Amino acid sequence: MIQTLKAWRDARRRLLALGALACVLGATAIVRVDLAQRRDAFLAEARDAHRLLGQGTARLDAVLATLALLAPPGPAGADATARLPALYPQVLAAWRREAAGGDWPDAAARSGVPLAALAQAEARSRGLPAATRHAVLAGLDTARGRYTLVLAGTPASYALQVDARQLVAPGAWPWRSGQPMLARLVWGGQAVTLQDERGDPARPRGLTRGFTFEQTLASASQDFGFQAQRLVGPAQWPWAALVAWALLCAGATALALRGQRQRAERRRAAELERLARTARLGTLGELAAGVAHELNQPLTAALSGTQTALRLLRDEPLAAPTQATVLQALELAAAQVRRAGEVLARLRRQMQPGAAPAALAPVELGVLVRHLGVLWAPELARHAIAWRVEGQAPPALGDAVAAEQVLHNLLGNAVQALQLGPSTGRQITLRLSATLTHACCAVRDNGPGVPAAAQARLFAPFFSTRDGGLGLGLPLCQTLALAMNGAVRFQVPVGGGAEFVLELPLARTSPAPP
Amino acid sequence: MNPISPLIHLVDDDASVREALALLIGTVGLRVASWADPQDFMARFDRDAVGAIVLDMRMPGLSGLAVIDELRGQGVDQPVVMLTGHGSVDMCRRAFKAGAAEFLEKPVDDELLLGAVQAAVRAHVALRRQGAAGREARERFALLSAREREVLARVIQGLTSKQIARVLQLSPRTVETHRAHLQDKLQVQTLAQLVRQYAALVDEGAA
Repeated sequence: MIQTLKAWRDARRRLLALGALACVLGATAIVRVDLAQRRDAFLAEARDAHRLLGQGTARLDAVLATLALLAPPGPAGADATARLPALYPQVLAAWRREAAGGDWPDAAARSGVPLAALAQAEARSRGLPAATRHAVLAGLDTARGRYTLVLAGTPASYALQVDARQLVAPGAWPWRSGQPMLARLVWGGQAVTLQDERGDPARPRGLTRGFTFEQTLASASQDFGFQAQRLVGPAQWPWAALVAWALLCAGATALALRGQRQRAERRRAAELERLARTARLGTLGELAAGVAHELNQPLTAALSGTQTALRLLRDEPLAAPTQATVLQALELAAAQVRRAGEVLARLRRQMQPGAAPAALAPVELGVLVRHLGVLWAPELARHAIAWRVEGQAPPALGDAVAAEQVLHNLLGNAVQALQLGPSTGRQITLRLSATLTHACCAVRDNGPGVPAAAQARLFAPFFSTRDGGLGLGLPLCQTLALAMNGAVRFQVPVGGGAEFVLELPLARTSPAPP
Repeated sequence: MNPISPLIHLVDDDASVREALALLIGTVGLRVASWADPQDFMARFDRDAVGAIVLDMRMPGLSGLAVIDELRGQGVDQPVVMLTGHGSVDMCRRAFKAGAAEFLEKPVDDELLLGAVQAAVRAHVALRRQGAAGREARERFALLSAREREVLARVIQGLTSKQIARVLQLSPRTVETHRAHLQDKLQVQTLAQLVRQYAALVDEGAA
C-alpha cells in the first residue's frame, strides 16, 4: 500500500513528462511539415517567375528583331520606334540609328543612357555572326530598374530602354502564397530588385538564408541571373497551429491528470474502506471476546455455585426421593451452563482477531504514519484539523497491517474527539520515538480529553465515552498490540487533550538484516 | 501437620465469580481470601501463609499476566492457578511462560479447579516443608564440633568406625562416642536418615 502512494506520484510525473514530450514533438512536426509545404510553394512560384521573365525577355528580342527586319527606313521607321512604348508597357523608349552614319537620338542621352555605351553595344552586336546576331545589353540602371538593349542592323540599329520591373505585367506575378519573396535580376555583379505586386518586397527577418532559387534566364541577349529568396524564421512559423497544438496537449494532459487524480481518490477510498472493513471484522471479534468475557463470568459463577451445591448434597444427602431429584436438577443446570460456555468458546475462537498469530516482521512506523496522513488528508481538511508529525522511530517488530489498523483507529478517535471541541485550533500530532526496548508512536489531539473517571476503564470492552459508541475500538487496538507483543497506553498530555501511544518491540533484536 | 490450614487467594474483578468460587473451594476445607482489585491484593496479601493464588487473566487496571510477573519478581512462592475466558493457545503459552502452575478456562469444572488448587497447595506445602527442613538441618549441623564434622564426613563417605579411627588416628571407641553424639545432635536414628538429610551440608562445608 505504501508503494501505491509512490506510484501515484510517479504516474503524475510520467503524465506531465508525456504531455510535454507530445507537445514538443508535435510542434516540431508541425513546423517541419509547414516548412516543407512552404518550400514547395516557394519553388513553384520561383519557377513560374523564372518562366514569365524568360517569356518577357524573349518578347523584347522578338520586338527588336521585328524592328530590324520590318521597320521602313527613314522617318517612317522612327515613327514605328516612337509608337513602341505605347504598345509595350515594359518598353520605356525605343531609339533608332541609321547605320549609314546616323547618330543615336538625343533622347537616348536624356534618358540617362550614355551614347558611348550604346555605340559599344551596337559594335558588339554587329560583331556577332549575322545568322545568330542578337541584341546586346548596353547598361543596367539598378536604381531605376532599367536596362538598354541594342541590336545592330542594317539599314538601322535599334535600342530599347526596358523597365525590368515591367518584364512581367503587374498582376501576372505568381505570388500565390502571398508571402513576401525577394526576386532579383543579376547581371555582371549588379542587381535589380523586381517589385512584386504589393510594392515593396519586404525582407522578413530570418534565422537562415531561408529558401533560395537561382537560375539564368534562357535569353541570349538578356542573360540575367534570376534570384529568388524567401526567408524563414520564427516570424513565419505557423503560430496558430502551434498554439492550437499546445492548447490541445495541455488540455489532454490536464484531463489525464484529472483522471489519474480521480483514480488516486478511488484508491484512497478503497484503502479507507479496507481499513474500515478490517476494523469491522476486528470489532466483531472484539465483540465476541467481550460478550464471551461478560457472559463467561456469570456462567462461571453459575457453574461453580451449582457444583458447590452438588458437592454438599453428595456429602450430606437429603431424604431419599428429594435427594435424587435435586441432584438431577442441579446436574442438568451444570450441564447447560457448560454447554453455554462451549458455545461461547467456539464463537470466540472463530471470531477472535488475535487468534491467528500475526507474522511479525520489521515495520517502519514512520512509513505507516505518512501513508495514513495521505489517507486522512481529506477528512482532516474537512474538519479543519492541522496535522503534524514529529520525531523518528527505528523499525519495530510487528505486523504492518495490524499496526496501521491500530494507528487508524487512534486517529479516528482523535478526529471524533476534536469535533466535540472548538472548531478552531484543532490539531493532531503524531510523535515517533523510541525507548531502549520499544518503538513508539503517540497520537495526540488537543480536544476535550478523557474524563478522569473514565480513564481507568478506557480499554474495557463495551465502555465508551461516546454516545452510541460500541466501546470496542480501544479493546481491539489493545488486542492487536498485544498480539504483536506491544501495547497501547493512554496518557494525559501536558496542555490537555488526549494521547494514545502504540508501543512495539524494536526490530533490531531480530536476526533479520536491517 | 501445619500450624494453620492453607489459604487460597482468589483474585477476580467479578463479585459473583468470587463468591461462587469461594464457596466451591470452601467445600474441600480450604480457607479463601477474595480480592476484587489486583493492586489491592498485591499490596496486602500475606506472603508467608501456605496456600495458592487463583488469578483471573483479564482484569481492568492490572492484567493477570502483569500480576504474575510482579509476584515472581517479588519472590512470592505461592503457586498460581490462572483462570481465563480467552482459552487461546497463545494465552496459555504466555501464562506458563510467566510461571503459572495451571491454566484453566472459564467456566471451570469443579473437579479441574479443585484438583488444580489442591495440587498447588500440596506443592506449596512441600516447598515450604523442604525449606523448613533445610533450615532446621542447617541449625543442627551448626551445633557439631569440628571433630564431629570430620567423623560425619567419613560416615557419609561410607567408612566404618574402625576405618574412621585409623584415618583420624583415634581409638574406635572414641569414634563410636562421636557418632553417638552427632546422631543425637542431628536428631537422626538411622544411617540412611543421616546421609539423606546431611550429605549436602557436609559437601557444602567441605567445599
